[in-house]
Amino acid sequence: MATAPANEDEMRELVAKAQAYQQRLDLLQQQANLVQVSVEDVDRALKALDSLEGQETGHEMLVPIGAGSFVHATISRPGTVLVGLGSGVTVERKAADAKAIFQSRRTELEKVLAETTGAIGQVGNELMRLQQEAQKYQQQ
Amino acid sequence: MNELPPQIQNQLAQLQQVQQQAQALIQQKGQVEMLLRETERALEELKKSPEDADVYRAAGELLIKAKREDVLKDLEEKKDNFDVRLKSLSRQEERVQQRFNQLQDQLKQALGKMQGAGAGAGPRAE
Repeated sequence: MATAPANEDEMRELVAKAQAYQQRLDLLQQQANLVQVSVEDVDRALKALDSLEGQETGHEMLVPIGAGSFVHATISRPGTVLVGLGSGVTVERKAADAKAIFQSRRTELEKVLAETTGAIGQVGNELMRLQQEAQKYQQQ
Repeated sequence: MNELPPQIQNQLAQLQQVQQQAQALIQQKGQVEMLLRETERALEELKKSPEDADVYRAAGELLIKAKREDVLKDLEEKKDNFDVRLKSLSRQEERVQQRFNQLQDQLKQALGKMQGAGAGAGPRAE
């Protein structure tokens, strides 16, 4: 019984640590989801570029305007793409250059995703260890 | 918390306030770091683009054609501004961290004294 206050303190510390790890885990999972969405976005752009390859001036297409609706359009500058660079800047590049930019972005995003997934694993393991330790204290 | 002397309660409240300030600064710093990285990347990529490439600036949903040189200049200015803001936030963060450490030490000392006084008072009470 004499050790009870010490155990209570340790238990409180464990719970606080577990909560902090849980918050970190939630943040990392949110980050991983966002990166995954970005990877899919880049993939869509790459797929669209592949589909447009070889199309000539005047080729008819439909441009989405949202709500599953489209307007008619024709290609006026085949082989060129307007690439968003961030910071509100967009530049016209050759389709091949644009593809290289997207592929480089994808590689970077995949690296971030792998790092985030690794961190999720580590934090998850530590959280599990803390929860098991807390359970032991409760059983004592 | 109610059992603590008012002075310690006050120190604890100050410590929590400083902690909140530190968290807000870390968040702001993270946002500025992200904007700085984005601007640096845009600048790097724009410099790699051919000099005669068409460049557009976003204005809401619209993209408006702009001169490459003007956009490069704007991005350089943006980058410099973010650099300055980041340095200022780092200095603030350092000051808040120092204040936090100082308050934490004061609180530890005060709690130590309180426990010491409590332990000393114990046998006398009996």
